[in-house]
Amino acid sequence: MNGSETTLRARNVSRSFGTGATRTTAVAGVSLELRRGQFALLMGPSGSGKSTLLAMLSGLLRPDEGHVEVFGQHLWSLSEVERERFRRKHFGFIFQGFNLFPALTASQQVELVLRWGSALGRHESRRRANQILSRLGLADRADLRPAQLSGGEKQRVAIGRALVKQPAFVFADEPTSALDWKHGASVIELLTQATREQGTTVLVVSHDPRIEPYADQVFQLEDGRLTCKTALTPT
Amino acid sequence: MIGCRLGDDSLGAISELTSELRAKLTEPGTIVIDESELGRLGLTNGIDETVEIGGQRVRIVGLVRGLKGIAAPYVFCSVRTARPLLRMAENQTTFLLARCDNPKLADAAARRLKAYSDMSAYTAREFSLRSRMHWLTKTKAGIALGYTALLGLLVGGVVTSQTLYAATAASLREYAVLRALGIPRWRMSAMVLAQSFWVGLAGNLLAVGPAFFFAWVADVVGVKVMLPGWLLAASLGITMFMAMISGLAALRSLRLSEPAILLR
Repeated sequence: MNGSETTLRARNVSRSFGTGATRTTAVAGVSLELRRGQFALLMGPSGSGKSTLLAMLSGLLRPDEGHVEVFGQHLWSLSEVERERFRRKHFGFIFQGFNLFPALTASQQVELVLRWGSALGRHESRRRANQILSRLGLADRADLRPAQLSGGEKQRVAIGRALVKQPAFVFADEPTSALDWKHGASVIELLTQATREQGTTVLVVSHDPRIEPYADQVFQLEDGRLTCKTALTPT
Repeated sequence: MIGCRLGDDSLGAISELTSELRAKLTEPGTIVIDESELGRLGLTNGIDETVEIGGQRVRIVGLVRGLKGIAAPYVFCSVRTARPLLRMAENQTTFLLARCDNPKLADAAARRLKAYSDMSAYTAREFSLRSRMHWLTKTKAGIALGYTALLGLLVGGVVTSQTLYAATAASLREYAVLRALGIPRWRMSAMVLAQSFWVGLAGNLLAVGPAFFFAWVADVVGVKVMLPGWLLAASLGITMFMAMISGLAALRSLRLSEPAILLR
């Protein structure tokens, strides 16, 4: 694994919402870089623009200014279909809620991403879904539906859904906020494990300081501006 | 009122009229009705009771089954009894039935007879279709039935559409995650349409049993309900079409599933 390879580069990224007197700037001129296999933490108080920045870096929200480059590709110069394909190939997402289909089993939630996203057959999708669920400690929960799973188990299914296609990036927006710390720590450990084993670049948005010790780098955002970049591990 | 010749070779013979009933109907002023009409006509026993038609008294000599009228009761009698009841002269009739020795020539024969300006001629199939279309489009019962079916279709369509819309809208966040993961929107649209298909199919399967049950119940109370294959196929087809259209209408909720809704 090449730990110093820059995989994502953002330059002067800005985004405002509203018009006229109600216009507010969510993110103002943020520049940052992410490296392969890095676990980066984006912190800041509520309303500081963390989620907006994550959305712009991950191709979900177009910035008003600036550009985002992933693997040398300008993300926002791609067409919508090309960007969708780019996300499908390289990006995994974990959001605050678990966002699992109530009628599908844990295995089916993960399979869906492979069958629809990677056009894999039913058998191969099932095999790989069960494989990742086993790695996440959910081997005996694969056939259960969300209502039968605990919060921690549901978030692990969501992680499985994000990791199953072995993406180069995982973007996680407050992945531990709905969990107690025991389960939250387990979620973070699974994500750091992905950085080590698969070379995945993980960007976690959170205001939970307990995640800091796990991070290679911490970005602090206040009022839409990056105030501090702390590299916690040598690169 | 159906007055027909009562001989064994009569073309217009009603198959439910047995030779015994036909023999009784040879007596002028006698009629046969469906047994299910007794209540409607205020009769108790039926046989040998006297009723009045157009101010003229007639006597019931027999009962049949399966010929219940939807609007008014059918009255079966001889041509001789029917004429005075319908106030027709001895040399008048409503229609004549004729049989071609070669059935293949029926169309040509009807066409030739149509050339006479003072008469209409139809083959059996044409006459049957004409009678059914008249009943469907010109009678209140037929029109009411048509509107009821249309209303049922509309209500079913709205209910199916709203149910599918609500089911899709309830999973907007889940669909938004898939959108974020780069799953094309058409995949999700296909899933909603697949759900519509299965809902339509399940609805059809659930309806087949009751349809035959109610046809049987109608038969028991004297109304013959026919469910030929083409009618069942058409009903199934229309229901599937309605379910798929409902699915298409439900797709509009998918437009709301943008990944941005997941960010707080």
